[in-house]
Amino acid sequence: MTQPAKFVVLHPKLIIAATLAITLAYLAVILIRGISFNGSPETLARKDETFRFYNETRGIFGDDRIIVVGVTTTDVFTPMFLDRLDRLTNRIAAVPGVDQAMSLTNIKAIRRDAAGVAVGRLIDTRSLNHAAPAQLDKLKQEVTSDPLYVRHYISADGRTAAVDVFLKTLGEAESRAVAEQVERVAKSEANGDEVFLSGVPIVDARGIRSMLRDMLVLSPIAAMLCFGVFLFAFRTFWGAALPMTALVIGLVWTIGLMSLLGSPITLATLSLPTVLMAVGGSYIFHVLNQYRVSMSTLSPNADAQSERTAWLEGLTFISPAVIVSGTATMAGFGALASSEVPTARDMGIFEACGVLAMLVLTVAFLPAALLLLPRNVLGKVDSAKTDYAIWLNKSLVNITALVLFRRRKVLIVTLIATIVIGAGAVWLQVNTDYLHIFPQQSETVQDAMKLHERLAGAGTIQLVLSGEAEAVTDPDFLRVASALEHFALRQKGVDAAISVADIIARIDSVLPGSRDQISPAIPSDRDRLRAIVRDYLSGDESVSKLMSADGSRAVIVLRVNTFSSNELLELTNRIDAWSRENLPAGITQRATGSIILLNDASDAVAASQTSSLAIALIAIYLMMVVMFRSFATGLLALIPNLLPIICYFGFLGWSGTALDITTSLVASAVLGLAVDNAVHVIRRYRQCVAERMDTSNGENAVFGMPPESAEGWAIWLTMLRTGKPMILANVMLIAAFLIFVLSSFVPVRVAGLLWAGTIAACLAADLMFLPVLMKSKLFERAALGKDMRR
Amino acid sequence: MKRSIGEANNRPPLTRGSCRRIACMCLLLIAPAGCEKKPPGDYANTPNDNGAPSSQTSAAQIIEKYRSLDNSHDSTIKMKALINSQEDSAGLGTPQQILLTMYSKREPDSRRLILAEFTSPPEERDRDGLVTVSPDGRIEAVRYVQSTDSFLVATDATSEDALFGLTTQELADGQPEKYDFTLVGEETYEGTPVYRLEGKLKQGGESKFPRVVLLISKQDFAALEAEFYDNHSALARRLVVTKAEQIAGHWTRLRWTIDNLARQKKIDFEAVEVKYDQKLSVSIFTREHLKKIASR
Repeated sequence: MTQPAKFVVLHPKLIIAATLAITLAYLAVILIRGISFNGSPETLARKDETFRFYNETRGIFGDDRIIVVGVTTTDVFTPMFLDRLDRLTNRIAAVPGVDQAMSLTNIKAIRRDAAGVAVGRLIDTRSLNHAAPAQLDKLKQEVTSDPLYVRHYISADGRTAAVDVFLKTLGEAESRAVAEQVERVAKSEANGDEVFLSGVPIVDARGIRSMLRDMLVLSPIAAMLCFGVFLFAFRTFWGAALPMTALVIGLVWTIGLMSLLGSPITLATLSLPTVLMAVGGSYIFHVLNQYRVSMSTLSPNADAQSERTAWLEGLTFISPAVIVSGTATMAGFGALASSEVPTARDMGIFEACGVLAMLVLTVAFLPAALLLLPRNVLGKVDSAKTDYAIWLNKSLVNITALVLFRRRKVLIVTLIATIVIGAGAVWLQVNTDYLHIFPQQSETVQDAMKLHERLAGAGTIQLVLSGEAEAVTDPDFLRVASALEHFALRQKGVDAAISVADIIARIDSVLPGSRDQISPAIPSDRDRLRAIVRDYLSGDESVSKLMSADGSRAVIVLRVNTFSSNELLELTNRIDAWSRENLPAGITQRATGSIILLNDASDAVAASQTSSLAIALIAIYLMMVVMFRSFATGLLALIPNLLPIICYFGFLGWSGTALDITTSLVASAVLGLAVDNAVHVIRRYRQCVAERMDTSNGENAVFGMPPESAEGWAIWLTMLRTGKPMILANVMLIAAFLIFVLSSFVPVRVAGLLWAGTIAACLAADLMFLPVLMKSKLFERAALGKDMRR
Repeated sequence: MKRSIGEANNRPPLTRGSCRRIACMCLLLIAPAGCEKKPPGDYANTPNDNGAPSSQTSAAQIIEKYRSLDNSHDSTIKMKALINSQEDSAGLGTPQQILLTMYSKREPDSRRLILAEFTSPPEERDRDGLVTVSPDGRIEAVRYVQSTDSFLVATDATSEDALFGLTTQELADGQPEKYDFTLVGEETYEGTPVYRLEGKLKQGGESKFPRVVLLISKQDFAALEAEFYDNHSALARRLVVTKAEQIAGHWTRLRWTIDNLARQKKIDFEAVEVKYDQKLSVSIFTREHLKKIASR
């Protein structure tokens, strides 16, 4: 490590110039290409067979992502309201990107005519201007009792009307823009009525707005926090400004890379700036601390050459630990890159890249900048006054006492706590609730609830029934479709359903010669079915959303009120079970839809959790082994940080917090972050033991605690030299993650608390449990290393 | 695949493509040529959107002259249509040709009656349709459905599934009376000086095309080109007249093309026989007659 450190010390200006050049290049990339956001559930979906089927279904039947605009008034069936509803429908239909907007005022009705069948608008607003109240009441009765319209377009009480907005097949950003425009149009037509909107595009659009707000609020707070902590610790302007400069440059590099690669900010990568600032800050703490330690060895009159020599020595000592810590953190985040969930993968990759950027800046830019600044840039330091943050000393004394004199208790308490808390992992659940990423009182959740209560849920599931070509003219196919639809309607979470079977039954019921006009049914005569499909449906654009052009597939569209992956999985499992039992040979059923993709993502989260954690564990362990050139020391560094991870999963189980897209990212990443502490403690301990062995008395026997042995004194010195920056760095990390409680997203808030809690647990384990292990017979030799043992 | 009339009941049920083809054609046949008799005083008092009095007057006068090119009581136009569809050409390879006859008659009560009779290929005969346009702009389109021995009546002007995949408004010459026209410019089109008129759908009007643009010849006030825009202001149809003549004192479109951009179809029309004021019997514009010709 001497050579790279020497390069930094000898060429500080070159390093700073290179840093600035790279930063300017990335800034240019950001300015030119911009930063994009993506709140689509597709970012959570694996690009697998389920996704392929979803896209195939979208290609055949159109986009399933509808926006539902609900309008509640005193009575929908008044000429004035229907006129406004018509205008709203037309205005929404004219929004670029909208394929169709359908409401009571433009949907079709199939009625019996004197000589056949009449197809026209269900309600012709032009003819209602002079309608008598009795006529309107009759219309209301008819429409609110018709299963083809009630809950889809009108509430049962006739007070809420819906406009169903179908979008063209668009990219995420375009869909979002359309959703925002539809929302603006809908609200501009409120005219005192209650307007609410829901549907995946609306949730996406509002999600992005919240993401932007979070980025604009949380990142500056994190920056201020870091600045405050550095200022508090070092009490000089440069002690805070220099680390902040490095952190901001690191962020520019990372976001610039994302921009360059066209990767958007998603729900998972939203936390990236805050996390990177916290992580980078912790590395910087150790380097700045080492600078103070190195400068304290110089006399006040030391020349620049002596300063460079001292700093080279210090940098040579601290760099390996920082690099290994950083690499371990990268491994922790990088392990997430193994996830099949794109957004988790992105998070892993870019967090790892960001950590690398912070690492480079910490071991190159920062030491170079320190050399160009006055020696006292971090405050006046001399051999008589090397200490800082003295208020921490008492706590460190107590911790050292615990380690030295209560080893067994610490060991037992830690193990029991781990077992008890970790046992909760048995109840660990995997679930993603796309709607409830928003707070319960948010407009998004409230609108979805209103929609469910008054009309039908805004989530859609498509049950795709497949058979032979022209299967839709087969009475058996349609009967089974109708039966499946009715079964689905009885399931929890399903508010409404529609299929081509409903339309065919309705047409048949109004055709001359129909047997039963009160209760429409599927005709059993195949020729009649063929005639209905050919003569009444084949030219209807809207029917293409319900059956394929070749007639081999039909879709049952379910309107559901749940966005929970667990509940959706249960629902589709029940439907699959029914289908296995009831579908005749040659007919298959498969559920799809954008919210179904979340199920898939949920499974992927669970699957990737084990693999990413295993990858992180192995990678970090191997790094520790290489770093310390000992399998036992690698294990020693790992174990204290593994116990809080076990507790983390146990806590999730006990508290009923589900493993989802955000909580699943915590474990392996925290492991990478926390092992940083262990590296510093073990290395510092070895240094202190060596120092102690070189001196005859305890030069730093302060606070009246005489060391009982070289190792005992070394523990204290370790606490003093490394425990302090470790605590400060981890407090900064914890505080940074606690900022996430201010997020607009519930899972981000929860994840923030979990990150903070787990890091705190790891810090406690590294401060107490690790030294206890180091003093134990099992790891004593591993802690000292081969050189010491000799 | 060609089928005889007797095979009609055994046709494949899902022939959406052919439906739309014929529909588009059908519309264009009838579409805005100079075969519309203007209800008295319709445009003279119509305000326009840009509020320029001179333009308003000019536009009204131009439209008035354009519509007065055909003041016939009835007409019979036999025509052929060649349909080029990107959608279908992949499968069929060659354009499809259809022959049909359009009968049109004005009633004393200002109703307009149109009968579209498909004569070739024979399997398209059950697409025959009867359209009635009321003076207030309402349209009723009727088709006879052999399979159920019943009539299918469509009353929605914007729905494209009523007859042959076209809107009934298109079947009724595009109903220019539904629009407020403004003169937006004067230019030269294919060497002919023309007026450029832009029509916006009147308040309360029902149409799939909220905006139309007409290029009217300054010399004879015949429409040389018409553009129909959808509610996203995207060009949905473009009609280009390539040949027109005076027949029996009426300006008659003889060859024209309609580009259905929305459905990626291009249809070339040619009027092969045109007759005016033959005193067509009102009995051919009845459901009974429709049933008779569609059942043959």
